[in-house]
Amino acid sequence: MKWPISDLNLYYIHINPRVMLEVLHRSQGGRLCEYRRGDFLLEAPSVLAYNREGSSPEEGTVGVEETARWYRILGVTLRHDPLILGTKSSKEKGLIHGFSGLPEVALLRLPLPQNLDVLKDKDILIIENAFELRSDPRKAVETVLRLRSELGFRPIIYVPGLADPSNLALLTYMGLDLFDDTYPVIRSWDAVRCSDSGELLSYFDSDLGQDAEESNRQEMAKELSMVRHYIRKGRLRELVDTRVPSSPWSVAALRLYDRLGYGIMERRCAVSGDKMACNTTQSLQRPEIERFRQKVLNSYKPPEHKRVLVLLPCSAKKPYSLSKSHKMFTSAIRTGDHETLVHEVVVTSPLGIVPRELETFFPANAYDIPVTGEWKCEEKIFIRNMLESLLSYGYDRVVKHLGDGYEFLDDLTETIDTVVGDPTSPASLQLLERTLREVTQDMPRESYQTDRMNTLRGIMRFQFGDAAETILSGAYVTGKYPFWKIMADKVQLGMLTGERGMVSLTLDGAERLMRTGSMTVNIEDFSLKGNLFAVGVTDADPGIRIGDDVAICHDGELRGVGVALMPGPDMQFLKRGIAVKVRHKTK
Amino acid sequence: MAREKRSPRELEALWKEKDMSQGRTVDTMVVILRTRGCCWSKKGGCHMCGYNSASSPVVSSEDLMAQLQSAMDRYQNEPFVKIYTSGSFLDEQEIPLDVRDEAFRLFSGTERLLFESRPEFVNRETVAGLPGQVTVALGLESANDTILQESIHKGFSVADHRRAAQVLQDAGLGIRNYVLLKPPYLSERIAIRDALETIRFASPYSTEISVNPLNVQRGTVVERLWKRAEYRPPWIWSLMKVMEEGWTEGGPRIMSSPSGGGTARGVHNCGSCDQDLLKAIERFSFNQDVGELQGHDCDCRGTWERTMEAETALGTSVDLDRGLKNDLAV
Repeated sequence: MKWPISDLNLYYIHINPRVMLEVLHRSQGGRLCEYRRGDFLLEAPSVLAYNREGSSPEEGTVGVEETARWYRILGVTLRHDPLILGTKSSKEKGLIHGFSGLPEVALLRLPLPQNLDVLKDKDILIIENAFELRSDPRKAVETVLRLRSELGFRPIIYVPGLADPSNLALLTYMGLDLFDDTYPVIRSWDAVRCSDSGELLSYFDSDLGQDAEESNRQEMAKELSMVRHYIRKGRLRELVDTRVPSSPWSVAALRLYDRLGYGIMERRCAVSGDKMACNTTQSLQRPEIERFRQKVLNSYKPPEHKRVLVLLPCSAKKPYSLSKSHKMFTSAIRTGDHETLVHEVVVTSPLGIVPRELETFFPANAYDIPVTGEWKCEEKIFIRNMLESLLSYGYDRVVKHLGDGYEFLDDLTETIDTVVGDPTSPASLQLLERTLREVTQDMPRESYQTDRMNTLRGIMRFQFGDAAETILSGAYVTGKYPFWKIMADKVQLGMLTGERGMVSLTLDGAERLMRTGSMTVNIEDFSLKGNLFAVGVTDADPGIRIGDDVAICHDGELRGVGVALMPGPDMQFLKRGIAVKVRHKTK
Repeated sequence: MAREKRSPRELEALWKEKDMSQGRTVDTMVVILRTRGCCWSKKGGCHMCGYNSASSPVVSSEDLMAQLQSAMDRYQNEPFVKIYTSGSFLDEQEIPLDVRDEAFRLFSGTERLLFESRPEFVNRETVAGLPGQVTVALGLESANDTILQESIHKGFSVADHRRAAQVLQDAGLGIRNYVLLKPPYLSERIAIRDALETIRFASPYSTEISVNPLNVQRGTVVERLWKRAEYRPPWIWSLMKVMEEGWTEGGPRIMSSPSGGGTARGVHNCGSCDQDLLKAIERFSFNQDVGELQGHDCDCRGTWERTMEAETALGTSVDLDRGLKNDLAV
């Protein structure tokens, strides 16, 4: 038996397959967007206001009428009068309902139907019994992930009755768009105050003097503006990290989401950024961090000519090279022609290990973490795993210039410890310098050009994957690190820039990238005037992430190169918004 | 603890109570026969019904005859006798014809004889053999086919029921209709509306309508929902509203004798007003004076009203008493 699939517009096809959605800002799974229909605008994230029974529908409000619930959005009152309210754990699969007044909207009940195909061309989804997810964080995570993995990020997802001030940031981060204050208002009937840090009983502040309902509505509004602010700054995760400990539900949901949602969410996360604070244990699992660790663990190879590994502690200043301590380390290391044999690798949390040549990449250039010398169990585990994998490439010698607190690495390999007291003490630095000279004494030297080329190869592989080899064929490096020019036949292919932390390609470099097919955006037949808008994109490598360098082409002919401002899949379904910020274009 | 082995020769239960016959309150004997059980329960059964357990797999005609005899031993000429089977009295697989006839013979002196049946066993042939003082109780539950099917899993349609009722009406027999208040997956408001619609639907052909607020029985689909806090039995306020608004001058008697009233598994309010209200409902069931249902109040009446608004506003039928509880609130 199935819940009835009710009526109307299930097979409505849009005349224009592109959605009238403009995403203004993205931050991990969260986004700030505008959806237009005629003269009406729907912003997300938004909190629709619950109208007490008896009041009339106004734009941006929800309410009830007898047994029915209505939603007033985009100038239309959507009214649903259900009969059977199956619960989220019902065996029968949920209902799907359309509205003739607004065919872009579908309403559904959990559990989700087996087949979501009829939702593929919908712009807005309403999950009627989303409130029930408040009792089941796993179901909440699974529901969002299933909708996003099968339907992508096209639809605006509205979860009535689910949000409160303490979970709004998390729900937005998870990829939900629309909320209401129904739950906080209902809580106010029992005099419960909803705050961003949890629920308060018999809370009294004589200065406020307002009633619980008013207070709860204001808390929601306040939190919404916080969420929007953090999205605009690209740092929603940090707000989430501070809010989540307020309830077991949120902690569980974020934990599950980080684990189960990594595959989908990592693709929403930019590969560049300024700053990020990792102040909670769960923030060690954020997707940008996990992605960095996995890339180092699974696809990174140290430059093959390196013979001596030097392990260094991290610094608060990023990139590490700019810090006082690292300037001291490098001046002790780079004292002669043996330096090309030395591989500097930073041991740190939450990234595990950061080879020197990757230090300018996000998030190695951006993270901040409280350092007290205590390591969490999981930090020890991933640092050990990553170091073990690095050691498997085979170094002749391993020099440990770390100091106290790294004893958990002692059993991994035989090391020479060069720290006397503090790693930056003159005695330590002298010992480091002397040790490196001694251990490299009998080793054949490697040229600076080979050193730079091999190092560049590592950087390029990290950024472009296998396409790096094609781009680098016959290439060589000029300039002073971290401003390297990549040349081939006296033509510049690209440049490593310290600020961006990665390689920016020229048209010639992009030509080579395009030939590999990866990181490539195909467009209609037109010449680029300024930036590339999503509407002009025919298809794009779904592996493109925000911040990636991409080649723009039409029918195998290069039209430009630039930085992706949206994930590859978004370029295909969005009509509005800049897809690629163009750096160079062909004539 | 091992369950006591039950003998197929023993009655499931027998008790005496008051009910109404020919417009007055009379002594009534209630007999519950232990049979092989309801035919529908073997095909999944209704979501709220736990009477599977009140039956044994093998019960012979002789066993049933013995049970009838022990009922007779305790019979004190009550004018009204009700014989329940946890299934259908007219199902020959459950009550063989000779047992049925024996029951009619033994209780031929009663003024009123009531038993229950699913509609599929009510037809012109079976009805032709029934004595004139018989009332057949029919579990209509809801006059809405979707609710019958998806919420209750009743296994018959409103039309099936209506046909059976017509046969009984044509034969001039009494009909007691059961209306289920708040089957699973309905909000309190939808449940009230449905019960009222069902009463209105059944009134024209009912001698009596018994409103049965759902009580959570062991081993049922509803119990599983209830244990997960996804079901709450109806409020007593809801039952009173349904009875008050469902009753009509000149219409059938509206009655209710809730099982488990005032407990967590049965129709209940806040706990402090429950017993008074249940007594009022009992009085109304006999005297049909709507005044009995009016003028009651308790702090929980407001809670009931707000809960109904909250359920609708949250689009859910789960138990909000428990669903909104937060032990960690500071």
